[in-house]
Order: sequence, then C-alpha cells, then structure tokens
Amino acid sequence: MRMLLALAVVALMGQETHDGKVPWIKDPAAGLQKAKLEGKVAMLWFTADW
Amino acid sequence: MAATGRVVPILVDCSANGQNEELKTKYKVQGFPTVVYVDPDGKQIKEMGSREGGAITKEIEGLAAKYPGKPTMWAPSRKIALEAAKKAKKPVAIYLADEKDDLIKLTAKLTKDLGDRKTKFAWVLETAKEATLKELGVESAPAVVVLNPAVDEPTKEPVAKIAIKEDDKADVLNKALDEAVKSMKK
Repeated sequence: MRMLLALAVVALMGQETHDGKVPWIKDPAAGLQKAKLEGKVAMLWFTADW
Repeated sequence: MAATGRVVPILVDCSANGQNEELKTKYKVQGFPTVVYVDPDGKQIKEMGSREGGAITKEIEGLAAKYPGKPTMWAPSRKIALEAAKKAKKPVAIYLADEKDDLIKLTAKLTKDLGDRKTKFAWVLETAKEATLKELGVESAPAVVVLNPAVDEPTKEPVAKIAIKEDDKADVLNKALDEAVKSMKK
C-alpha cells in the first residue's frame, strides 16, 4: 500500500525533484497553510510506526 | 504541464500517543495508513478510493485538475527554487516565516511591498523550525536569507541574512534585498 502510494505520488511530483523522493511536508499545519496559499488540494497521509 | 506540486503532500505522523489527534478526529481516521484529500480550505473531499497504483495516480490527477492552484510568488520547495534560479541566473530568497505567521496575510503584504523584487528573486517560503534556523545560521524568524544558486553549496555561503523586525517598514527589507543583489554582482 505504502509503495503503491509512493509510486503514484512520485509519478506526479518526482520528475521535477530529480531524486525520485516525494517532498513530504512533515508539519501538517504548515502544509495545510501552503495548500490554502497555493489553492491546491492537500493529500494527508496518516501513518504510524508502532 | 509541469507536474511538480500539483497536490501538497503532507505526512501526518501519529506514532506517538496523542500525536496529531486533532487531525485524526477531524478527518475521522480510524486506521493506518489512511489517505485523505482536502480542498484548499481544509475541507475533506474524499478518502483514497483505490489501492491500485494506476488508479491512485488517476485519482490524484483528477483532483489536481479540479484544483489547479493559483499563481503564487513561491516556489514549491527550496530545491526547485535553487534549480529555477540557477537557470534564470538570479538569486534565491528564502523567507523564513515565524510559526505563528498567517501565511495568507504575509503573502498579501509581501506582494504589495516587494514590487519587482518578487520576480528578481526566486522566492521560497519556509516555516522556521529550529533545525532550519540552525542550518541557515539565523537567530530567529521572520528573516530572509539570500542565496547564490551558482555556488557549490548555496546554503553554506549565504549572500545575506536579513532579520525582519515587527515594526520594520517595507523599505528596510527592500533595501537589504537590493544590497544583496549588488554584492552578488561584485
């Protein structure tokens, strides 16, 4: 599941980051503000490593 | 069409007890991993419908098409700003916002105050965390750090570090930015 999602996101964003990494924003408040500022959809990936 | 930044990817780490509880409750998250798409105002559009790679891509593309974003002076990331600035042969300006800053109001103010400096620099907006301040050698936010994208390690050799005080008028920042451009040309 994680791999599929990561691949899908890389398909959308990876080309311009050149390193194949998804530029995850790890501060949800800052990310949501960024989405509002840019008028874009935010994709929230809820995860937990137990 | 450039694909970069068509959606804003946010990792919500719920590993610690109570971590991001408010968001989990708001979007009714009951297990992990869960993916939720929200509109620019934070209203949930949908939960991820498919778990198949191609369908996920289509799903994201569909949402990105519906919310294409609006023009902004900010590059999606520092890395992208540095790449664009290198091509355009102009400096990068990192605006380090205070965590309490309202970015919408801040952008509106800067759009008004900066004049053509909006396009003379490749701007990137970052919320100043302790690690970022340390990395850039800045004491506190808000501040602007000007980088020369043509050097090997731009963040290690900043052209200027401009502290912004609450009562500073717009021309204080503008003058400092102009000085930074001049010093790069020398």
